[in-house]
Amino acid sequence: MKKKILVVDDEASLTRLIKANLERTGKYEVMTENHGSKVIETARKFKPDLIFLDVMMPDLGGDEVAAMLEEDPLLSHIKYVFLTAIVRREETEPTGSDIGGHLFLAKPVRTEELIATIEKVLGP
Amino acid sequence: MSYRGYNIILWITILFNVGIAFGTESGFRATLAPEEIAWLNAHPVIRFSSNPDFTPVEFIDDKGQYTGIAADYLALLSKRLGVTFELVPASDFYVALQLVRELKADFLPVVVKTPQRAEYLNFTDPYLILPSAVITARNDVENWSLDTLSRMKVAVVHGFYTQEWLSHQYPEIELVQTPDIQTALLATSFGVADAMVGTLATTSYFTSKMNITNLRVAFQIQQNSENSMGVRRDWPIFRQLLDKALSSISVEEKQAITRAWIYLEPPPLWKNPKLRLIALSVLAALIGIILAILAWNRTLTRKVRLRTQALEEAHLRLMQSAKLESVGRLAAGVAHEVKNPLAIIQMGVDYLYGEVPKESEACQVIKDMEDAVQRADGVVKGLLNFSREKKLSMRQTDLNDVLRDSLKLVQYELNHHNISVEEKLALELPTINADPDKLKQVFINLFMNAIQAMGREGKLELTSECFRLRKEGDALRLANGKFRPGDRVVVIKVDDNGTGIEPEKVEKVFDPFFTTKPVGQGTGLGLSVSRNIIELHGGAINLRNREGGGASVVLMFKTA
Repeated sequence: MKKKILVVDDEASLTRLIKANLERTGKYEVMTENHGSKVIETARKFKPDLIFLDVMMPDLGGDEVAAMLEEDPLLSHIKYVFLTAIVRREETEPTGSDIGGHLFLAKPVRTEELIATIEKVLGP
Repeated sequence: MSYRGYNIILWITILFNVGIAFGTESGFRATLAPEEIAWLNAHPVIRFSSNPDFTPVEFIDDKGQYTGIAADYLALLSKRLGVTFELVPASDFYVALQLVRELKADFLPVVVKTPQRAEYLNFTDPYLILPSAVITARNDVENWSLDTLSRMKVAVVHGFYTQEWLSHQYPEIELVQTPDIQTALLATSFGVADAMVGTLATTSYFTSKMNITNLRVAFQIQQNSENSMGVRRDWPIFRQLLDKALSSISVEEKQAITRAWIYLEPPPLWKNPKLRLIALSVLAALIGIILAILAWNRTLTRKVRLRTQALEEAHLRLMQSAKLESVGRLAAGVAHEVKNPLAIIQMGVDYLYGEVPKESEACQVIKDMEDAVQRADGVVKGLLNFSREKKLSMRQTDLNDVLRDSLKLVQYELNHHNISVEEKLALELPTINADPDKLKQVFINLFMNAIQAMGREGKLELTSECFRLRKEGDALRLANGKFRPGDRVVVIKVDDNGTGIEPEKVEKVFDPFFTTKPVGQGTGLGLSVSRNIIELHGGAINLRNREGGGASVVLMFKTA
């Protein structure tokens, strides 16, 4: 049973590539979303198991989206991992760093790091 | 010079000026013979008489006081001689003469020497030259002389010596006698008399006072213009005294007196001796004040300069931190803008890996691209590191523990490169106030640098010690000015026997982006970041080449 991954980032090129790389493994079904404001709607329709959330987005920041997710009864169970360009790579282990109780991954990430994080969060 | 110095000069100048003023008076007494002084002491009050109506030379004012040019002279003489003069009033000049003759008065201040008067008077040398003048309202005054007056009506004041003299010397002149000067002037002004003869001093005084504007001086008569003081014949010593006293009066003093009464021109203020003295004293005082102000100014200027310096330094520091703050923000912005494209390329690389056969050339190309991405990422990371505001979480730290922990973290690299470690750590090291995680970062950086410098095989020596800084010596120099002799310091040394640093580059090792590593390895930010961290701890870091080869990094921290 393929795991459903929602990738949220305002960079379309990035989300397209992440989707291609993850789906190539055959293990995941990936949907992309480039607008923070549309995440709730997309998540309700797609019902992902994990969301990769970019922190710095022009319309709605990743942290705000996360807050909205947690408040939504239908979506609050979904796990999410932040992707960030600010945090130093060393401060995050390859499988995401726990900062303030949330997982962070530092860009640029490798595909294998994404996969390792998914397995850490959702189980193998 | 100090405040005090200026003060002293000021007072000396003042006293000097005051001294001069005093000296003139008391200096005169010193010139007198003892018999003269004795005579003065025996005659404290001396009587005189005068013409009551000889303005402005001598006259009695409406308060009954003796006034005029001669009065001013008498005032001076009174001070110099130290005696008082008492007026014996007379209704006119001839009565005054008589009074002295009868010894009811002792002298006359203003009198012209004549043979007749010499019978009962001793005269001083003339001291008051009062020329007479022929004054007229007529225009044809060229070449006038006393002979010209022969057929004219000439007004004279009754009782004045001029009248006596004229009637004797020039009997052809028709003399018109008037009771006083004023009448004579008016008569001449209105043409009732063709001319008048009178003392220049008096006539000018009155023409000014009466605003008579149509009179002019035809010519002056020099005869009988010399006035002396006339003393009773039985007082020769007094006459002597008067002569001495009169000659002690300076020319300036005389001119000042005359000018005060005769409105020929207003007395030039600067000639007045009294005024001069005052002016000098004021000048001296002013100079003193100015000097005092200058001294005060100098200390003020110095204070202001120091304060400005301090302000400038504070301002600079503020600007620095503001700059750093904006650099920090810039760095964050740059990081974000660079990392996103890097993320895309990385993903692209991952994707392409799947598209090309392993071991193919294309695969190598993709690997190189991946390395480039990592390098770029490293630089951005370093930039963020460098500009980030370092918030330290300080606690009492044993540096030996930090050293050992750091060593553990690079154990793999040490083994991989065959580096042996010699620990010369103090048995008991005092703790310092520090952020152990940040210091770990520094040590790791130093160890990695050492390992890279040594390549394959080498020895890493770690030293930790604690001592008091001595006045001279190596240690003080390494303190970078942060500590003083007597301070207790903890010193850590990280020594390697690698290639060392080229001497001309030793200064630059802590500069950001300076690196001796080949292109592609390292960002050159390690040591500059390390130095930042050490400096945030208030410590000092130095790098030197060792004598046997290799480099030595010395860290110094203050401990209680």
